[in-house]
Amino acid sequence: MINVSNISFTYNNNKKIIENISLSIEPGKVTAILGKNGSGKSTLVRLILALLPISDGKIYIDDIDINCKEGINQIRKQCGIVFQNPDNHFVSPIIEDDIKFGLTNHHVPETIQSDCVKSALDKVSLTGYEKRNVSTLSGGQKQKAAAAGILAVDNSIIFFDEATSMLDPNGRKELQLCIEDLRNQNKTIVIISQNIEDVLHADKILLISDHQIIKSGSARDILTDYETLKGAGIQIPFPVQVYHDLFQKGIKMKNCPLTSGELAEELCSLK
Amino acid sequence: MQLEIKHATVRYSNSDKILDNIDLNITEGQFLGITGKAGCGKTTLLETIAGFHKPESGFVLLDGQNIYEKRFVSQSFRKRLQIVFQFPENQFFESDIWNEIGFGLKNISSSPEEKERKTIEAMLAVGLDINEMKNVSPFALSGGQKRRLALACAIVVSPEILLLDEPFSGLDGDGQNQIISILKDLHRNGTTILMVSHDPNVLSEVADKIVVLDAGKIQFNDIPSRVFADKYLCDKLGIGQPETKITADLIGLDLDEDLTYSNFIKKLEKKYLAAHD
Ligand SMILES: Nc1ncnc2c1ncn2[C@@H]1O[C@H](COP(=O)(O)OP(=O)(O)O)[C@@H](O)[C@H]1O
Ligand SMILES: Nc1ncnc2c1ncn2[C@@H]1O[C@H](COP(=O)(O)OP(=O)(O)O)[C@@H](O)[C@H]1O
Ligand SMILES: [Mg+2]
Ligand SMILES: [Mg+2]
Repeated sequence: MINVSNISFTYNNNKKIIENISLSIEPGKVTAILGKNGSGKSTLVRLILALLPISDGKIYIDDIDINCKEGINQIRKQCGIVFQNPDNHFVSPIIEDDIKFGLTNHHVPETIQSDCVKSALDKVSLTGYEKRNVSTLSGGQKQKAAAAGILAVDNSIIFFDEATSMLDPNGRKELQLCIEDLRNQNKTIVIISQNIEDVLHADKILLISDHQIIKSGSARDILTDYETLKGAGIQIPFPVQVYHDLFQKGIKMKNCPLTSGELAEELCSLK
Repeated sequence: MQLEIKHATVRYSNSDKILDNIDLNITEGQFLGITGKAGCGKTTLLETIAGFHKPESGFVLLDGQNIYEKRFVSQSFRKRLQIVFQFPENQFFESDIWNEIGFGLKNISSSPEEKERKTIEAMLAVGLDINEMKNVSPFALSGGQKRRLALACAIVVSPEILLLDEPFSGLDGDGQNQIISILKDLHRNGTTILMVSHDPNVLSEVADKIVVLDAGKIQFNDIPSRVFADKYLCDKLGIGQPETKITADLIGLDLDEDLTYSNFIKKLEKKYLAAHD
């Protein structure tokens, strides 16, 4: 469990990036963070991972303050992250070596490392890419390889920071299934994405705007709140946009749909 | 303007053929979408057209001239054709945003006032606040802000041909809408646009035609409604279908070959308001 209590942060130029934010990331759940570009999501994640110093406030992991050696150790032990830019991700140019580096850090015996690499690459449809140099991968393939590196090791808390932005629709579904699997294994997941499909199945969504969390709730609560999403500059889910636009034209559905299936049902019951 | 790719085969030093004997004609003012699975060769195709990968056989011709020929003048080529890369951070090198955007204007003979005006216009167009951002380093920007900057750098020189590699990836809703409307404006004013994207919604919204790549070949070069017609085939090619199409199929609505959002709403309106009368 991660608890963030009244934290604030500015980079050295004194512009407020995060102002008095509190939140909790619950174990075994998928938490999504939504917010427009530059709203401070990656900064927030870097603070939680102790990659940046907090200006004010406290962050705890399992009740241990991360601002001490033991706290940092816990963070390093439990947390994994797939970064926004896959190029920031790789520590070794060869995919297999890169993934094995993570495995060794997690004390996975060398004898089974190759199997772990293979199964992680299978999960993201990069079967047979062990010996490839990451610099020869396409953008989407890099994102897949970065995700495979995290899927291979046994972190209890995993952050995906816009890790799907270059995936094709199939790749996106594949990664969603992986995340579903992780949730079933009781892992804690944090997803940041601009793509609504990625956050549709989150247990909880936190909406950031103007340096603060302006709303948190279930995926349905947040994603059907047209005005709040619009105000925060977030993409409106297609069914919600349709609901809103038809409403303006005097066509009223009973409930605001969130999926295309629900939208079709609502439309069919209009008559 | 006439841009042609003739029998082009491209591979990396010892890779398989990434583009396999490809033919493509791009006409003036066209808005061409390019899509396909991750790794199918979209970036390679775009960069081949931009002059970065010489085909091992075949040609890229701009107004009948081979762009890879030595005689081809690269300065004027850069003014006519601009590319926004998939990883925009790899293209920045100036110390602040103002100079990064202004750089492209250096070799274009325009007065200081005109340079300033164009730089301001480009920043406004992509939604970068001038007072707040002009002195910021390109490297201190968030991912979405970098995309906006890269687009500003390309449009500031008013190219005839604009190549965009996944310009929406990682952009928030406002940013997407903003950039879609910039691209629609450029298209209306005659700019030829080639855009790689994985988003079937965006593609069917803006593209006149869509090229689908798979296994080194062009599987489709057609209007959006025909490219996205068959669910099974779209899944197989890894390109998905736009939500207008998915919903229309679920409720048996005919979109008349037009998958744009405004047409979808218009058809729904007609169907349900007519039912009330
Ligand atoms: N290293 C840095 N130095 C100064 N400002 C930064 C730095 N990194 C990010 N910023 C600024 O902090 C704000 C938040 O950035 P970020 O957390 O990356 O946003 P998000 O992930 O929500 O898009 C942005 O305005 C960005 O320009
Ligand atoms: N420098 C390189 N060396 C070898 N193979 C490469 C290189 N760059 C890209 N590739 C391969 O070429 C294929 C096409 O890549 P790319 O054009 O980037 O795909 P995308 O459609 O995702 O943009 C991919 O399978 C990729 O792995
Ligand atoms: Mg970010
Ligand atoms: Mg690409």
